[in-house]
Amino acid sequence: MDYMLILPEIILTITGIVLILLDLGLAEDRKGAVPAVAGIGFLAALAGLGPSVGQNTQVLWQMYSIDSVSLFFRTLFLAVGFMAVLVSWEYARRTKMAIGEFYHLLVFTTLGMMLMASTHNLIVIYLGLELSSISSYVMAGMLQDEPRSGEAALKYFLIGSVASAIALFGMSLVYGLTGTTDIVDAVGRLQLAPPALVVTAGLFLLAGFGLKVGMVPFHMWIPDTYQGAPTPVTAFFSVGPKAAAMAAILRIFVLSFLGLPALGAGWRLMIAVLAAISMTFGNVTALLQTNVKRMLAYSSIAHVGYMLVGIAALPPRDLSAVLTYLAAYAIMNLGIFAVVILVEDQGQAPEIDAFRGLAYRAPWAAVAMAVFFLSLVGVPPTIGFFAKLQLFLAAVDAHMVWLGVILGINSAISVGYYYSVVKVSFLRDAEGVPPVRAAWTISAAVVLLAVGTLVAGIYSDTILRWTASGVTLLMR
Amino acid sequence: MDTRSFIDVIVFVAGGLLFPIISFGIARLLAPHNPTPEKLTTYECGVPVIGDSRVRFPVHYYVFALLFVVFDVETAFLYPWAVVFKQLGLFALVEALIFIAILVVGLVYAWKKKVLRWV
Repeated sequence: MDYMLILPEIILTITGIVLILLDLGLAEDRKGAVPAVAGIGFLAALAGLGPSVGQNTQVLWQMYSIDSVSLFFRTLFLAVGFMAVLVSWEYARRTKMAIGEFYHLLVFTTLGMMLMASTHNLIVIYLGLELSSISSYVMAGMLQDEPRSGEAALKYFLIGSVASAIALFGMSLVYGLTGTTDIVDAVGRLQLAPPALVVTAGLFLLAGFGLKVGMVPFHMWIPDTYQGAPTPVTAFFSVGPKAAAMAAILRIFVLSFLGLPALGAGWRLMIAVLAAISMTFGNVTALLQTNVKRMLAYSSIAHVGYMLVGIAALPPRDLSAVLTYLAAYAIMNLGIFAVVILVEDQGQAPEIDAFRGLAYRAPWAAVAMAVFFLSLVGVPPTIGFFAKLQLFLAAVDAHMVWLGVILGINSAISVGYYYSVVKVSFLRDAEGVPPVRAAWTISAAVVLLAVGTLVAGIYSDTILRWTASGVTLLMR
Repeated sequence: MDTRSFIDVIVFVAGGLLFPIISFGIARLLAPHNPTPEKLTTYECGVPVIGDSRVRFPVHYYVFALLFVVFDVETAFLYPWAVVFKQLGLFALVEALIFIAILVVGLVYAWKKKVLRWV
C-alpha cells in the first residue's frame, strides 16, 4: 500500500499537529515536554522509513518518488531535525523562546524539505519549498526581544519570497514549453523547444534555487540572516533548507538542463565558474570576521561552492560525490554550531573571544570542535576529507583540473579562519570567561556529532556505495 | 509560432492604453474646470478626510485576511469534492474529514491564541 511508503511524512504531520495542541493545552511551566515530543516524532519518522528501503517506485499518482535518492534525503532531513531538537533544547529554555511554536515550525519545515527532495514534479517541489520556507521565516525571528532576530527574519522573508517567485516563473516557463510539470516527461520535449526559452527557464530556476542555497551571486542575505537568527535555527538553516534546495537543483538540472545535448556543456561551465567564485568569495570574506556565527555563514557559502563542483563535474562521474558531501557537511556543520551554542549557553556572545581557553574549561568540547574544524578543512581521517576528495576526483575526471586546483587552494585558505578559533581555545588561558556548565542535551549532540565525523570518515566507503546506488536512478 | 494570437494581444493592449487616454481627453475638453479645495482632496468615500493615511494600523487585519485565505482554500477544495462525491465514495469522505480536521486545529489555535478577539 502507498501509505506505508509515506509513513514518515504522515508521522511528522501528526507530530506537528500534536505539538500545536500541546502548545495550547500545556501550562507555561510544563512546556518542557514539547521538545521531547518533537524528538520522539523525529525518531518515529526515522523508523517509519523502514518500508521505503530498497523501493524504487512512484506513489500518489506519480507525484511522489520513493527511490534511494529520496531515501537518502529523507534520512538526512529527519536526522538533522532530531539534532536540531537536541541543540535547541537548552537554548530555547534559556532565551525564553516560544517553544510551543518553535518546535512545530521545525517539524513542518522538515516535512516541507522532505516533499521537496522526493518528487519529480515541479508543483510538489514548489509546495515543499513554500511549506519549508514560510515556517523557516518565522523560526528566524523567534527571539522577539532581539532586533537582530527580527532583521534576520525580515531579510530572509523578503529574499525568500523573491526566490520563490523567480523559481515559480521558471517552472511556469517549463510548463509552457512542455505542457507537463513532471521533469522526467519534460526532458524529451525540452529538446524540441526553442533554445532561448529553455535557457531562460533554466536561468530562472537556477536563480530561484540558487538564492535558497545561497551561492554567489545570490548570497547577500546569508550573513545577516545567519547572524541574527537564534543559533540553533542558524545551525538548522545551514544544513537543512540548503540540502533541500540542493536536492531540487539535482533533480531539476541533472535530469533536464545538464542533459540537453545542445546546451549541457554551457551549463556545466557556468556552474563551474559560479562554484569557483562561491568558494573563493566565501573563504576570503570569512577571514575578516570576528563573530563566529557570521564567519560560519561565509564558510557555508564556500561549502555550497564545493558542492557545485560536484554538479559541474557530473558526467563522467556520478552524483555520489555531491550526496556524500551533503551528508558530511550536515554532520560537521551541525557539530560546529553545537559547540557555538554550547559556548553561547554560558551567556556569552558568539565572538571569537568567547572561545578563550575552552580547552581548559571543557576539554571534550574543545577536542570535538577541533575535530569539526579539521573535517571542515578536509583533513583525514574525518568525513570531510573523504567527501572533499570525491569532489576533487570528480573535477579531475571531468577535465576540469583548474576547478580542482581552486578547490584545493580554498581548503588551504579556510585553515586561516578556522584556526583562529582553535588557537584562542587551546593557546589562551580562560581568565575572565565563565566555566562551562553544559546541559546533557547539547553535550550529547556535540559528542554524537564528533563521533559521527570520525566514524563516518572511517566507513566512508559504505556511505559512498549507498549514495552511488541512488545515482544511477537519477541519471537514467 | 502562431503570430495571429499575438496580434490579438497587441490589439487588446493598444485598446487598453487608448481607452483611458481618449476618455480622459474628451473629459478634459468638455468638462467645466472649476476647482475648489474640497474637490482637490483625495476621494475616499465622500466623507471629509481626517488626518494622514500613512499611520500605523493594527495588524489584526492581516491575521483575519490569513484566516480568510485558509477557509477560502478549504471551499476551493471541498467544492469539486462535493461535485464528484458519489463516484469517490468512502475513501474520499475520510480524506475530506482529515483535511477539515487539520483546518479546525488551525482555527482552534487562532481562537485559543486570542487572535479572533477584536481589540
